[in-house]
Amino acid sequence: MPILEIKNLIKKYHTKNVIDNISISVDSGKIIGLLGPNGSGKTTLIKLLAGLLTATSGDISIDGKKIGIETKAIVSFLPDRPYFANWMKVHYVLAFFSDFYRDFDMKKAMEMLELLNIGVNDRIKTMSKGTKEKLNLILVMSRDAKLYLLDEPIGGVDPAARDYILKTIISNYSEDSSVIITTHHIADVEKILDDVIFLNNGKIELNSAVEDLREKREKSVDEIFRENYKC
Amino acid sequence: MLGRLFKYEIKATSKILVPIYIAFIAITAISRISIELQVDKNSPLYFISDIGFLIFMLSAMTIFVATAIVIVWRFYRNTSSDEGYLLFTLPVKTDYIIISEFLCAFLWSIVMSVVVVIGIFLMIFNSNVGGITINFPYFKEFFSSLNFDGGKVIFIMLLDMTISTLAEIMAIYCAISLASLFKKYRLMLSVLFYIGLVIITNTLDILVIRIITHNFIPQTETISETYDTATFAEAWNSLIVPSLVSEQVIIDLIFLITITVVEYFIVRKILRKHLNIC
Repeated sequence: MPILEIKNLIKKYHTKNVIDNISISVDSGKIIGLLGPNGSGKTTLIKLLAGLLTATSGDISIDGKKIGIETKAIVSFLPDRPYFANWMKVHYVLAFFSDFYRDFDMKKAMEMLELLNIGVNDRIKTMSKGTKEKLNLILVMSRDAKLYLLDEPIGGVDPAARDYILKTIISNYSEDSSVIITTHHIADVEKILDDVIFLNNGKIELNSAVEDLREKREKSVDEIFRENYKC
Repeated sequence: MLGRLFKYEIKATSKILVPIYIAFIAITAISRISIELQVDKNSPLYFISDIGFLIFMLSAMTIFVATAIVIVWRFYRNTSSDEGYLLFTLPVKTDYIIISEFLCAFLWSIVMSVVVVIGIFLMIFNSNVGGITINFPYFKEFFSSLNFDGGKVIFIMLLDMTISTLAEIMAIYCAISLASLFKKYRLMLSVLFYIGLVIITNTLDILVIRIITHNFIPQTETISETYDTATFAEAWNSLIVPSLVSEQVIIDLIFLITITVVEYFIVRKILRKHLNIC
């Protein structure tokens, strides 16, 4: 059974279809790159999967369940910007995740924090943008979720931090789970991707395994993307 | 899960409100001490005794405003800002999210009222107001002069205050939720929606009472400005008790509960189906 099944999904804002009748099936154990130019509908799709938006029509099922409390318990979502308030401390957000997510592995989170020299008493306010993003990622990847939704996980961080983030993603997901990543830094990410989906104007323009795509077009995903969406 | 949400809501809000309440009590105590010092009128420090009561009044207003701002700001941040990502991706019912915030806001309203009462007590106890010493015998004499079914009236007063506070909080939540349907000017729209809700609710309230009781709302008489217990007791017995134990108050409370429930379902519908975190 696929971990994610989307059928004829439409999300309308006023009169515009931001997501325009898309159908996707994602199997377990895959890392999928959800790529597209600005305004293509990537973040809207991720928010629909995270249960933050309601679809206008169509069906979404995650691990066979309709979007709701049950899917939120098995979906680990990283938004495109850190969502912790400045007054919070690391131990507060750790306790928060531990209290609300049964699949949260405190030991794993502590190990990753230690590696990055982030103290449990550190305040969010004192952290750099990169450290905040790493902290968010650590919390999200410390869950034993079925589906990880990572919206721009490497946006706005230095190349060294990008490597760390990608390494964290690869080493923390299992064969029972899948990861969907949206990003504009395709060259950095494509080495870890199994499949890519190109989204444009709310429609799927390409859905393929990365290996097949490279063999067929004899180009990298980054090059294909630049060709397709040249301004 | 409701208990956990409530716990985190209390943690988040207490960081701001508890220090403010402690500061209020401290300022009140200092104000009272400054008044009690009875500094000589020729001393340059005389103004301290003079402005003690003013400082107390300003502090009381400050904690009221601070509590209201925290209640509004928490709900606004949780439903319209990035912090909403954290809250609305939790595996919990939307009802629990609304109720936990609602209960927390209500709790702080009660705590604020208690703190203000403590402040008033600190300011007036054992002091001489209008030639009368406010102390335990004063309160004893006052309560013994009242000819009402005490339990019943106090119950209605507390019920009225509770429901009015709950209705006020839900009206604020409803205004913020309605404003969240728009992309821009959400804070300004929240204020406008709140004013609109207050106008609509009050107009409907008056209409409902008039239709049901076939009566106009009686004019409230002014309570005398003297402070002796007999005057207070007379005002209580002739004005407050009849206005509390009346058909009008009961209709008013039922109306407020109905409006609060309607507003709750509007908030619920918006947060479940039209959540719009920018």
